[in-house]
Amino acid sequence: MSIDNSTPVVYLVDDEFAIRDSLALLIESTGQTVRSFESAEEFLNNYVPDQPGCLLLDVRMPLMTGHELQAELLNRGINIPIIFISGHADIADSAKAFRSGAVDFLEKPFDNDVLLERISEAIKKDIAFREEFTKKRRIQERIDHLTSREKEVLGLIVKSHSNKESAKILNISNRTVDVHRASIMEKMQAENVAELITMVMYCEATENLLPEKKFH
Amino acid sequence: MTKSTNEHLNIRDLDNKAEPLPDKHPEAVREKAEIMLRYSDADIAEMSADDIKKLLIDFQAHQTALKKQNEELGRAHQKMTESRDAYARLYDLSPVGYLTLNKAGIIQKANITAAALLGRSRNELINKRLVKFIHASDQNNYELFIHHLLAHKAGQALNARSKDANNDPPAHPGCKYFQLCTDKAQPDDKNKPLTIECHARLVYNDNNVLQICLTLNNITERQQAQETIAYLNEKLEETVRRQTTELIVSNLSLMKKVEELRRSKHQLLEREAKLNSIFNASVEGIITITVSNIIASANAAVETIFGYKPEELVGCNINKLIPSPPSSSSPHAAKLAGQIQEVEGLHKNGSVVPLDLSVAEFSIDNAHYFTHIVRDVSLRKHRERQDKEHLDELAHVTRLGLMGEMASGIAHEVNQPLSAIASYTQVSLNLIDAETPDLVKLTEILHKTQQQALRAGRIIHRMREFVKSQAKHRSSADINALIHETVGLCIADLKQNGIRLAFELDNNLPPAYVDHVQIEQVIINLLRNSIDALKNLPAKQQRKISIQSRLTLNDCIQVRVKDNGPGLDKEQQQKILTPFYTTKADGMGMGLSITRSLVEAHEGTLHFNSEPEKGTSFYFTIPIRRKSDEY
Repeated sequence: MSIDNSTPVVYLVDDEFAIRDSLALLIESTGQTVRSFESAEEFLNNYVPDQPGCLLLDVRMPLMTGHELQAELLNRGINIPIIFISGHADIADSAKAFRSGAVDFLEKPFDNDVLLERISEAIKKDIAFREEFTKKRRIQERIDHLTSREKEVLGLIVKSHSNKESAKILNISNRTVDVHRASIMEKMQAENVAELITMVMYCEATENLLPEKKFH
Repeated sequence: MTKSTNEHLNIRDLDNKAEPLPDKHPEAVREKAEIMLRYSDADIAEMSADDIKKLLIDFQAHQTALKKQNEELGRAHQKMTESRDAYARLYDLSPVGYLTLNKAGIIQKANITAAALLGRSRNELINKRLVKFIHASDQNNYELFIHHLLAHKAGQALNARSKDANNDPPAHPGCKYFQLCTDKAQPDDKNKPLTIECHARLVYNDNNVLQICLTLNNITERQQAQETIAYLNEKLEETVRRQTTELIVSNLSLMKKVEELRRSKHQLLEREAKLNSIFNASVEGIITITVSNIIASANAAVETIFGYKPEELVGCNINKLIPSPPSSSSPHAAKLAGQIQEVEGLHKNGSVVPLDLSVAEFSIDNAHYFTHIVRDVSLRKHRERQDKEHLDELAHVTRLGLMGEMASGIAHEVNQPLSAIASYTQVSLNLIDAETPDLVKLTEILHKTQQQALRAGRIIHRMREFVKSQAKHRSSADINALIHETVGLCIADLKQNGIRLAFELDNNLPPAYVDHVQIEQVIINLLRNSIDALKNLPAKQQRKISIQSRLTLNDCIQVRVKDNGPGLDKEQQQKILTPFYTTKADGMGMGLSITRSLVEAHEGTLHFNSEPEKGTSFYFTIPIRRKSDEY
């Protein structure tokens, strides 16, 4: 099957052949691409992070369990939405899964419509996440281009300090703050201060920009 | 009177001999002469011639008498000389040695024999102390002897002499033995000192001086003979003593034997009494039969067991009581001796009595007998049945509990095919909805759906079989198939705990004759134990269980469940098979105990070995039942 970066893929990991076989047939019948694996290890070895998609993951498997795979994915920074499918869903299992960021937890046998619905939701979520991630990365790249003094000034702007206050905090002239501010607006491609603040907040980069830490 | 120096010893005898010869004449003559002289003295010249004449005649008569007297004296002297010579010869040549000592013990006189005994010439002896010639060891004795002799002198000496005649000569103080000096004694006598018997007597000589007269007898040979006799006597005595001792010893051992015999007789009697009391009081029936199976005797218990009085039975064939007894005459009867067999007895009222029978063989005077000891085991059989029923019930209850614990796992197992079925049917529906349904694909999917439905059904069936309180009967089973069935119920648990299960099954096992469900329960218990043990392993470590089956050398089937868990420590190993012991927080401690009871109900055994940090393996063996063994 031809895979390009825009085609979402439904990954399926279950040690049970009948489950893999029936689910693959079902999901493929809705026109989606399915890649199924017998074990968590096999999945890890074949997963390509470039494509959007979701992971249907069985909880109980020999060797690496579903939960262990989830932990491993977090560990590797892979943020694929996970729908757990379990023959035996106890509360502890599902709570654990959700705490680790699973998007869903379905008990076998499941309603096929619900499953398909959840799959498409998860894929949408992944696509949205990927877009967001790209956007964040773009803003971060702009922030990375700022000089360290500019980063300090930006931090103060985000904290809603006026030019005057900023000059005082940084112990520089108002004029110099003005120059930095103009440079920041340009580098960040922001129309106004409100947009600038939104951008910074969005990519959660504020942490890196808090100059107060130095002074307090 | 004249006397020789040698004659003083018997001087008195000599005097006595000489006396009758002078006949008082000399004194009478002298008196007469003196009277005459007195008369004549008055006046010899005045004497008348007659008187002188008378006197002359007297003188002449007197002269003649004197002459005659002189002749007689000469004759007497000659006789005396002869007698003295005879005496001297007697003295010197006597075989007895004579010695005369003075008071100081100095030799005054010795005869030839004495000199010869002392080994010296007579001259050499005179004026020497006798003690010098006595052996040094006897000198003290000699001195004491002489001393005693002198002490008892005077009147006592005479008494002693008279005593001499009556009493034992050696005991008399006047008699003593001495050994003479070796060197001075006869040197050619091989230096052997002579032993002398010495008799002593005190004598006063003419001058009234005390002298000691000794007679010496050579008793060396006598003594040697006596010594020989003494030696022989001693030997004889010793022999007698030894024989006496031997006799005493043999007597003692005889007495001991008698005592032993008495005791063993007593023991025999005691034993007989004991045996009799056992025979009569025994709860077990004791029946003695001959080689031809005829009852010779029976005890009272037989009546309780079979309903017949003992006297009714004597003379009957044993098959009246035990219709199919082990044939006593057959050669393997001896083999049966000591073993307990289960047989069926026939009561007088026709009912069948289950019996334990043991047979012992004995013979008296070449006649062989068999003692059959029978015990009524109806009660025990009944109890065994009850025990088995209890065990079955208990097993059933624990199976229900087990199923409860395993329910979620089994539900998972059932959910898998159900889930697949749901998806397959959805796909089928989707296919049917299409404008041109792909019937080939549809068929294929429906087929798969069916497989899954059957699979779910099998799991449910297995579970139901496991739980139901089935009729307890055994049938022949393929142990490996049982293992697979069992594992099917545990798959979920194994998976959930990430345990890899390996099978090492011997494909050539003969069928076993077992209660399927109970053996499955045993295997499940062992599997679940291993699973529980493995739960404690750190997540990183690979958890493994292997199930093995094999045929042992003694025709048993052995099933082993082995894990690589943390193992059991010493204390756990000791307690692990006891009821209510558990290492699990929520365990009842009944699993292994039930497991063992179930295995044992199959005449099998349950074992384990465990090594801390390496793992534990539990294994049980059950015997293969041959067709002929079935009951």
